[in-house]
Amino acid sequence: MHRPSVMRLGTIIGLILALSGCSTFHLTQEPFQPKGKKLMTNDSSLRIAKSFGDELGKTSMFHVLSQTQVAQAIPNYPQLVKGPYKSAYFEIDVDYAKTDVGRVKELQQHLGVDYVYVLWAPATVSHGNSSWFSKHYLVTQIVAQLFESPGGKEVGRGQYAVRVDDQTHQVLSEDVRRVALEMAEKTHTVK
Amino acid sequence: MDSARYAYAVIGIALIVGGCGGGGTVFALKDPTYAVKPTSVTVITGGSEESDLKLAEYLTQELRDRTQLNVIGQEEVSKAVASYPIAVKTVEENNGQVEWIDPSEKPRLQKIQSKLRTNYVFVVWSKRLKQTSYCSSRGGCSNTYSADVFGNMLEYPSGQIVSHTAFNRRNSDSVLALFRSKGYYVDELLKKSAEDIVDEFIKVTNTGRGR
Repeated sequence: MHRPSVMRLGTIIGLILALSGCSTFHLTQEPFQPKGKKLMTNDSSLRIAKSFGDELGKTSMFHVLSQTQVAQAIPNYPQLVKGPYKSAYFEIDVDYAKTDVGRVKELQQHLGVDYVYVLWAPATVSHGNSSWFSKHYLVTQIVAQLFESPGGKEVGRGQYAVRVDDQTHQVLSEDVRRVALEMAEKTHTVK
Repeated sequence: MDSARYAYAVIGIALIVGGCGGGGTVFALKDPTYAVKPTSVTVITGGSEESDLKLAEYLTQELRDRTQLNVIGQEEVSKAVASYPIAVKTVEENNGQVEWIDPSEKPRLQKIQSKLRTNYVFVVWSKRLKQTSYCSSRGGCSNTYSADVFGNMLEYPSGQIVSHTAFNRRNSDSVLALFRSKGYYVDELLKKSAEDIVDEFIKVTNTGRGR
């Protein structure tokens, strides 16, 4: 008789793990030695890209290009870049070999930056119903890769979820801040 | 009641009383006397998430396989429209109308149409993807996935909306989920949605391929 509540608890724990407990960024090339000129940009979901860029700018020593600057540098931005996944609905079935690295390199040439952080936000979903005790959030699934320039070598990657207010559709800044902080810590660039 | 809640209420009522079994209107002409010409059509996704892209892909394939219309492929659309997929804004308050495309988007769609030169542009969205889990007291859990599917088809050169689609589709997993790929049941849901739209499209427009 208690299984539904156990299930709910499991779901809540799962969400907590997805949203706060697990690593959101790890290096694929170590040691990571940040270059002098540190610029970065994102692709795909602009709202999340902007929020993440703002947070990374505050948290790290990276000099982050604004989305306006990115849009000026890349014609028809945002563009669809094939992402590192087979399917992406309630969870992302990640396959990093599927990324269109050639397209990423083209974007790097337009930007002239040291690093490009490409994020894909292919699914915003809802899990179950809201209750009297908790506010209901949508969850956006994200997968991201950090590429070094020139050459387009992948130096970091991450997979995580951020909460989105289902009324205002604003991304929760605390979730994005946590991801930005972890990236800054692991790349030794915390302010 | 704020505008978003009002819109959800209107859409909810449309889904409930829309006239087709399974919760909503799968495909209907705005003017039932309008005759769809068996010419050409482009399917455009109105959103940029994976489910939107897949729905557009499946609908393109179904229309191509089963109707007399010349259907432009999604790859051709991507080549012709550099910024594709585009997010097409939807109307928040429509007072019971069935035009989901925000009027401010019509010039942008007109531009896309001028590149693709098809007689019709069919815009589709997959919204509010939701997973609900249920565990029985006897043990075992199941997940139900649901999505709201919306669509409007525009005729050119007039740029008028000639059809509307708004329905909810669900799909539940089974014990076989252990052996399925991630996303299998949502993929099935989207494929079935596209099939259903084309079933109704053929009935309404009489443009099915002859046997």
